[in-house]
Amino acid sequence: MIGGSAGSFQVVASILGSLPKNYELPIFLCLHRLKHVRTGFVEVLSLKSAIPVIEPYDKEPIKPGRAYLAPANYHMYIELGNKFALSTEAPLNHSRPSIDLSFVTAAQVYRNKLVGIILSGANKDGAYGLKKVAEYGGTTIVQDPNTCEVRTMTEAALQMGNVNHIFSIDKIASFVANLKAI
Amino acid sequence: MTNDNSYSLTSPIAAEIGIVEYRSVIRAISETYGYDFSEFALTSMKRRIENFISAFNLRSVEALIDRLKNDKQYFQTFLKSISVESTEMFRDPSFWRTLRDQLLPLILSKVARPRVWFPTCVSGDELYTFCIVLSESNWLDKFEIIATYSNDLSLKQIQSGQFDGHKYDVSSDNYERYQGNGKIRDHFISAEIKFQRNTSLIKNVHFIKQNVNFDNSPTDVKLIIFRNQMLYFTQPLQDKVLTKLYNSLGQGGFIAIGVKEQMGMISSKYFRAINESENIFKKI
Repeated sequence: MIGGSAGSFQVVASILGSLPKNYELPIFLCLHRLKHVRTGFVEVLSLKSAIPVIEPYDKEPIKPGRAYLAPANYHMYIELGNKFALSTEAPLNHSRPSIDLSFVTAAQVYRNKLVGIILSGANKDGAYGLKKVAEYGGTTIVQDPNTCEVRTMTEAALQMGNVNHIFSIDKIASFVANLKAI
Repeated sequence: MTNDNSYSLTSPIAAEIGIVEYRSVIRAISETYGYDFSEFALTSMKRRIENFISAFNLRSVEALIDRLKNDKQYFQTFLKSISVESTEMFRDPSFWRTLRDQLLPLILSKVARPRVWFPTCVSGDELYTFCIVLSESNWLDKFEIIATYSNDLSLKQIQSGQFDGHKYDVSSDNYERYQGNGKIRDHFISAEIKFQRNTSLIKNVHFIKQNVNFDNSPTDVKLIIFRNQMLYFTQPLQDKVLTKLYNSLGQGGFIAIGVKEQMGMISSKYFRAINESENIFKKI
């Protein structure tokens, strides 16, 4: 699961672009975006991605080999039973979708099988969520703040502690591309 | 703003509760009050109960159950705070434009005084938005509007015109994109400090109390607006509720659901999509 905000688009694009076509895992993207723009984002990401990019519907089953993008103005939760649950509950850290909420719900379901990644961004959303990923035994990665357009989000995540790797953009892309289903 | 470079440790999920504890709360509510939340979507419901426990400084799940069982008034407060409010007014401006420019004229051309139903109102944002749409087209007396609610505190909030000021700016931006006749400010009595909507917009709305099982639903409805409410149901409950809403719709009636919600199992049998991007369906 990848969280990002300002300055994360190019990073996400290079991660998705470097995946093998037969990628075995689902990828979840929780990126801050304009809440009133419903279309366009997923189409642009699709152009760069080696696997299909989808904005899930509520209760849509999760399938491997797809990248799922949190829809505008909804929180995206991972629900027990291998599906999504969307929510219009209040914003958290001024954000809906909230990276913290996506990460926490994913951590509770996937536990040590989850990899949480925080990218460039202009607020502190995601730091708490990444800490929870670590507490549930998952792997945590933060983009090297020196490679970020905006470093606030990654620095907040690093301050929370429990970060396994600080990676450059290329290193994140190759790490994700080489992950295999357990 | 405080200068907080270190991220506050106040967690977004203050008191994490286990699934067994969660189920014990749901069971206690069902046994004491007959409200069945067992088929509500787990993650969001659990989170709202967790938020309630921390907001009301309860020591434990047992303490919550104890208060709920022994204090009816407290249970009402609990019900209100676990209901999810709509996020803003004029959410999805293109939906409201579609209503104003296409769907409502179509319905008006076929029936005199068509009945419109807003099930399970919590903050009334969708209801007020609809009434503004009607008011600006001079249609307010051309529709019969029914709003059902399950909690007295919700009714009070809606009828008083009270509005959460945090939602004002986004609602106002939405209104601009909707391209209304004026400014959203025109429909507020006060848009500073204490935000007050103009309650004359809803003066002809019939409010009916309804339990969570959708008993005593209205009939012969021409349009149901039920957006982003099924998100909080499991799929079996979504199907049950949709079946009830289907039965409330008159011949050729319409229903709008949230843009990221699905009709699920019963869609092809009961409904035909007439606008896929705004998720508006027609009863077959």
